[in-house]
Amino acid sequence: MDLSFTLPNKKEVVVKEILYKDLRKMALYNDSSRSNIIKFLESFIVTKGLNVVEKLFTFFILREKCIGEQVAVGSKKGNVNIDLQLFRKNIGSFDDIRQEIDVEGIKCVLNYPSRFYVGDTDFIFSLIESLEIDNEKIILSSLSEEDYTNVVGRLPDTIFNYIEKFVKSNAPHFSMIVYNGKESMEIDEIKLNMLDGSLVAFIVKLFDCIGDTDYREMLFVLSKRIPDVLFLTNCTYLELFDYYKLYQDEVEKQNQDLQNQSAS
Amino acid sequence: MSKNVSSFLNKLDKLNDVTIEVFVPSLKKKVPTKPLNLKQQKDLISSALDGLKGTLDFNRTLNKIIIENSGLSDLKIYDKLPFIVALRKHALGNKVGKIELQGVLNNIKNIPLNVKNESTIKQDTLKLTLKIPTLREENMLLNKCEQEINTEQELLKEGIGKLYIYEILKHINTIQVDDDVIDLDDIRIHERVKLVEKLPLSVYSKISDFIETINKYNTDILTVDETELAIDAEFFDTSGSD
Repeated sequence: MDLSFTLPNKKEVVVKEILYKDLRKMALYNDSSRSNIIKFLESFIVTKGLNVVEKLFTFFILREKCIGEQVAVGSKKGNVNIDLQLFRKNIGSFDDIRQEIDVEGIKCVLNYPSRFYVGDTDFIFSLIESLEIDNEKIILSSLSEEDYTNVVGRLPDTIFNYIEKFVKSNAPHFSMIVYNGKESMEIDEIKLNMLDGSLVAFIVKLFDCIGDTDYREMLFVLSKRIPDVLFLTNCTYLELFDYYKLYQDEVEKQNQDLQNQSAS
Repeated sequence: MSKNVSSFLNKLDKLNDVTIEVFVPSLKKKVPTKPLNLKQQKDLISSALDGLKGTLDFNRTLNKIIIENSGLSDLKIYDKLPFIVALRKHALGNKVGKIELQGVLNNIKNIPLNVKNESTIKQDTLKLTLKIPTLREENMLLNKCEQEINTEQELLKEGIGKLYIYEILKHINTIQVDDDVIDLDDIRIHERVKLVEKLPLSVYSKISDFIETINKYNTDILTVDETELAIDAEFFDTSGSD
């Protein structure tokens, strides 16, 4: 099922639900490269042309709706659950850093990157939002991989100077504090930067909510009460967790009834 | 490719329809070459981030760009500097620190190329023929060398040792012992390394002398007003230049 919502910058976004069976892939991807995992996660975003900030907010909402609002954060005293709303609140709104430049007859708009950094420095070109020559305009993030490579491979090197200056002058806008840390709980501050690997690492962690053993165990237990495993795997984690709690309550009630009967 | 993008690419090609003239020592004439593009400049700068591997990557990227932009596949390694300097001058301007690149370009035209393309070394029954490798040949060896070099810092010494062997290796054409002649192009790279590692030390020194003629030529053309221009990734970084 597709979900749609509005981002803080009023942009409408459509996503596909992340189902329980998709989390199995995440568990299997555990040893895979970050680039593969983020590509898999991005495949749930139907709306094209988002920058990484918009994608981050989209992932927050997707996580809330399909997995839950609480995120386990590691501390020296063990995992602590933190509400995703707090992360969103800390990030707040993003300043408009869009800048239009004219380089050798090419109108070039620079903005937040549209691609995540996963080790390939080519991602820096994704700071170019659009290019325009003689009223013909292309949006780089909407191009296929082949077209994107062809366009970037033909751009004059003089644009590099502008990109470098843009990155330097907007450096504070590319980093964000998601969590301020809590000394009493010994939880460190969570600081992310769009221009390094920290953002992807954080997003991957958001969706890394179940291991492969727990994945099978939950299905095994629930299939005793709901035998249609296909139905179960097509539910979201959030739904399954509700069924799991209901089943747990039911079993506890039955045990209590049995104990009461034996006592009487 | 979509129709829209195809039309946009045509427009970009028209805007980029610029060539620069580079004097090529091996050809003794000027050849037209395309200027650096955005991706090429980024590739050169990003190689600076990775230590010893980065140095290899930088050289490999440079060779690839020169071959790609000039359309010439048989350029010798001493042809590299004229392209590097001309491309840098066109992209980022004439000055690097206090050095004016035009001075280097003048040196390229004025300093004679006193480098032999071939040489022979004989020692007892051992005979080696040496050559000046092409950029393409150098890249094949750089690829292999990069695969073998570990990025771990503690292995830096070992990595430099490998670099030295590959530097020697790329200048050897044939090795002959008695009547057995081996053309190094006919055998796999790891076998070439094994052969070269078995050469006597005195032969290494003679090969180094041959290599030194190229190094001297490079030093001479890069020296302007007694200051030698350094060619590394920073050379292509706008923020590093004046």
